[in-house]
Amino acid sequence: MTLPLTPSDVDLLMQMISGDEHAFTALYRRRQGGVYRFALQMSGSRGIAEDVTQEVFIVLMREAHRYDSSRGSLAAYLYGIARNHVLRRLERDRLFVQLGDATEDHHESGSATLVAEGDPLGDLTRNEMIDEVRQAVLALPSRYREVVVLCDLHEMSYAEAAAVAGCAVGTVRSRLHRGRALLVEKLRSARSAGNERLVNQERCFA
Amino acid sequence: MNCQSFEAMVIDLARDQMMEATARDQALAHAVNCEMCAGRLADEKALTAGLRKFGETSEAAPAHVEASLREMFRAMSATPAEPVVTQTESGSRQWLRWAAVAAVIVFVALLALTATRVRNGRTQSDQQEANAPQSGQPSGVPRVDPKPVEASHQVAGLHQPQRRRPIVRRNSQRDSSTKDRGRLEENRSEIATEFIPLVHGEEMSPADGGQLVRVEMPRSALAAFGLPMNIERAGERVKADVVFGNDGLARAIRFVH
Repeated sequence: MTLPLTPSDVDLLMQMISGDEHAFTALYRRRQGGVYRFALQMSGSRGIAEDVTQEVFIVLMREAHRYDSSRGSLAAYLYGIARNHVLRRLERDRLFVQLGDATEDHHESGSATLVAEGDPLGDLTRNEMIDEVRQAVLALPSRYREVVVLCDLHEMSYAEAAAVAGCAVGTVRSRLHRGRALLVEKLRSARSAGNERLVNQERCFA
Repeated sequence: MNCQSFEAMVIDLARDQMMEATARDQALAHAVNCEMCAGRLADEKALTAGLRKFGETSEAAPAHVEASLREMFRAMSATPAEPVVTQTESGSRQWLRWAAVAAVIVFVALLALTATRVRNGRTQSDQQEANAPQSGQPSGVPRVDPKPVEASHQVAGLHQPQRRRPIVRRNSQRDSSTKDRGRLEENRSEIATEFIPLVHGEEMSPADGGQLVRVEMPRSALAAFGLPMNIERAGERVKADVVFGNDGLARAIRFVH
């Protein structure tokens, strides 16, 4: 018989509700990274990501009793709060980053060269292309961006992403399909026209 | 499998999602034979790899966020009693204020109800006294001049039953108000003679006061006052209002139809 070494999120939450600061700290350290990265990847701003992370855990402190474990995991609950705060903040600030625009925090790579040498889709694994992907993601409409971030960047299942986004699984699938197609288009549009590979021609839809 | 079916699966293939083994094999076989779909799959795999590379960045919230949250947690954990007590006190004060207002309203309502009942009781006792059977036979010369009762109530010195004001409908008073309304309707439909004096040589001054009592008597009494009477209906009874002075003597009478 082995005892669980690490308490579950719900256990930590219960201890946190009873006033255990260590439980809150453990829960924060376990979940803050995902929440922070989600907010950062959605907004492109470290300031917004910090604010959202703080707001998410303030909400958790104040309204922990509202969490219903039967409706999803605590992580999905936190992501859902973060999503609402990010979208509200983006709506307020109108901080929709356009492809090619310099963002406030991630311009250090100096990616004036969105056009990579060679095939950018083939070179995505290179670190220097990460910034292009980030900007392409930030340029997506928010409804597509959130499913791309949740499913591809945070590797959530369709069901988990649907729980966070508050929509159906089929909606997540279609949005992910459309979002990835937009990403491919955006990344390809950064290439020179001569190097573009025409993928969708000569398809055999018969 | 054609390219359309492949397109529906290409993202799951690129993301290494779980799917049926046969479907996966068919899709991969199609990609081998179709150059365009192979390129599409390669693009999606490259995109997936790039996105995962981007997602693997291990960024975390700065330490000051954790510090401020822990401080906030300590503050919220340390001070739940005071705000709750404060809210409870303010809530109880507010509750007490509303309770006091409600008590005043109930007290006023009870006072009004009691006053109404006392007034009704007095009126009913007056009417019971007035309806008590009276004796005394009149004499004199009658003069028939039919007119509505309300007009003939303007007799000087008579203590007439006052018409009640409309009573606010309440369950406890519904019966009495209904009776009053019926009596009022009855009075409006009555026709009466003028008052015929029963005691000659004495006039009632307004200060004398008196009471008006509704009585019933044999129709034959009409003849005693010189009023026309149908002999065939002599056995019937007729209503009359008799005026009694403070000494208890009947002073005047009128007949009511």
